[in-house]
Amino acid sequence: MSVNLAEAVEKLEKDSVMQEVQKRLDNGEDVLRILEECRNGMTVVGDKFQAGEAFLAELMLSGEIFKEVMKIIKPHMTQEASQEKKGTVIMATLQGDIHDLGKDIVVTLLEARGFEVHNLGVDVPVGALVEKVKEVKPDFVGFSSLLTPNIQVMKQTVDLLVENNLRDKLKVMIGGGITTDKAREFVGADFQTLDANEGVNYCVSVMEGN
Amino acid sequence: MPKETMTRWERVWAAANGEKSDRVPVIPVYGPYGATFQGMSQGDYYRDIDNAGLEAMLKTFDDVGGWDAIWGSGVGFDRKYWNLAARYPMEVKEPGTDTPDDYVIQLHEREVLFYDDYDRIAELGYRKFFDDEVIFRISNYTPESLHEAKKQVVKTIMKAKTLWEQRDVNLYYTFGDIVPFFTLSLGRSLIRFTEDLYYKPEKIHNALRRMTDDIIEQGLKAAKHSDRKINFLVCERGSAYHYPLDIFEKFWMNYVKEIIEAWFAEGIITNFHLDTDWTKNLPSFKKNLPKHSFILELDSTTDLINAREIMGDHCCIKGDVPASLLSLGTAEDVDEYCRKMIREVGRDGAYILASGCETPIDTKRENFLAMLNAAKTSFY
Repeated sequence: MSVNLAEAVEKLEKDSVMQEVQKRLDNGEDVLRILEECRNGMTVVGDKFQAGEAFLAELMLSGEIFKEVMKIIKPHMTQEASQEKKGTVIMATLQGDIHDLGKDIVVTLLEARGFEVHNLGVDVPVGALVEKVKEVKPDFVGFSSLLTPNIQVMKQTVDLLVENNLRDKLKVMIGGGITTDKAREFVGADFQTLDANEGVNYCVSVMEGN
Repeated sequence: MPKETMTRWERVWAAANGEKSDRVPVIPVYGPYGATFQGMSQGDYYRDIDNAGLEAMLKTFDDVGGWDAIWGSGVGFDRKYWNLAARYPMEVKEPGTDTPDDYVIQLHEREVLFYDDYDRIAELGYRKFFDDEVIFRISNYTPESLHEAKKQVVKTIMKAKTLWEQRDVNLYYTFGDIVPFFTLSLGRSLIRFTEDLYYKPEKIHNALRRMTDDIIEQGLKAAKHSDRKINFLVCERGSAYHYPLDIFEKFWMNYVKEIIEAWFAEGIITNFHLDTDWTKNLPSFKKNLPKHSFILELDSTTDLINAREIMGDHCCIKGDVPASLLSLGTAEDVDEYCRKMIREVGRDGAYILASGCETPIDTKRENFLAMLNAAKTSFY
């Protein structure tokens, strides 16, 4: 009997998901359909998290399952399918901060929802971020931080994007424990959240024109 | 203006016991901000934390007219305090040494405890296991340099304690440790530990059992020789933001309850330093832990007013001027926030005003003063 992949992801049944994905690949099932089912499971977990009905643990574990699924699915994907993307995002923890947990959770969720993500890591110099924006022309840049001095660095970065005429071509998101709406205003960002899934939903809704 | 009628410690102790003091006590989470206040770089502060760094902390205290108790060990936390005194299983990145002079000190999380280490912790106890093995996974200490550094830690803490006491102010807590659940999460790393909890939890209980017994014993031993009976436990993970309540009850409260009860039986009140949102966990604190056996020190992620509503007069609450308000807000904003908390959370006493977690290094001078002043002018 076939396992409902979306449900299994939602219930965090890792072994069952991996076995089912392998079985379906062996049977020649369409990889995009497999991926979509897993993605649906993750979306349910993410929406529940955002509604306060699920926990960060579950959001993370569903993301980990999805990453494992991607590892075995990727070699089976056609070049066309691999390149299909919902949008492009640059994620970074800027200069002065080396925390990466929150940012990496957002990266996993964005990838699972079909975004191409350039994760620049931590302690990223402002100039390097701007150069990357010039190179990949993203739809979004996201900054995550746990330290208040980093709010100034976020502002410097946004100012530099303005100077380089890049700001109006993308949306800026900020997140992490010390960010607030007041910080968003100060930085000149479009969006602020403490909730990884809310950030992902923001990207989805912008790309869908909502 | 009414006059103070209590000593600093009497004021703190009354609030800790759920009573009204003469005025609202104030105890910021304080260390590296002392350097900022004195115009010293973070690099300079950490390069000479035991002397110039400590001097900056003392001088700032003097310059602002003091406050009611000193959070922590009375000295700033550099690598040797995080790793050797607090035994955090994480690499420490110090400004001026590992990072540029103007950075904030940071702890770098990676997997330094492995799955089988649960057995080693259960067998040896966390302290011995950390001192014998973990410290060498996260630092460049050698057995010889480790020995010297430990001696230095003890010496400086004793020196700091004396210098603070000369100013008629005490260290806030006598003994501090990490909630065992949090130690394991930091050492294993958040994702690996979460996988262990969900997919192979058996060994975790054995480690938690041993760590709990050890913390009870060490906390009792430390408090026995002190007339100040506040111990300290930190946890930044375990709330219903991170985990479902059944995991919290089984792996967190089940063990922490034992610690609090054992300490409280000897007259010790525990200050919980709890980051992230604990709102959904608060009913469990109220149900499981004796009245006035603990203080909730919250970081502004948990709504403090809501926390008071849930806890009623069951415990003292400490907090929680948000970090971003201290760094970005105005003195008027800070004053307004503090007075609101004093009115709503400290109405019947059992309240200590404080920064929500650390006082950030970019706190505006006038905002720090506004926080202290709000408490110093709020009499019962």
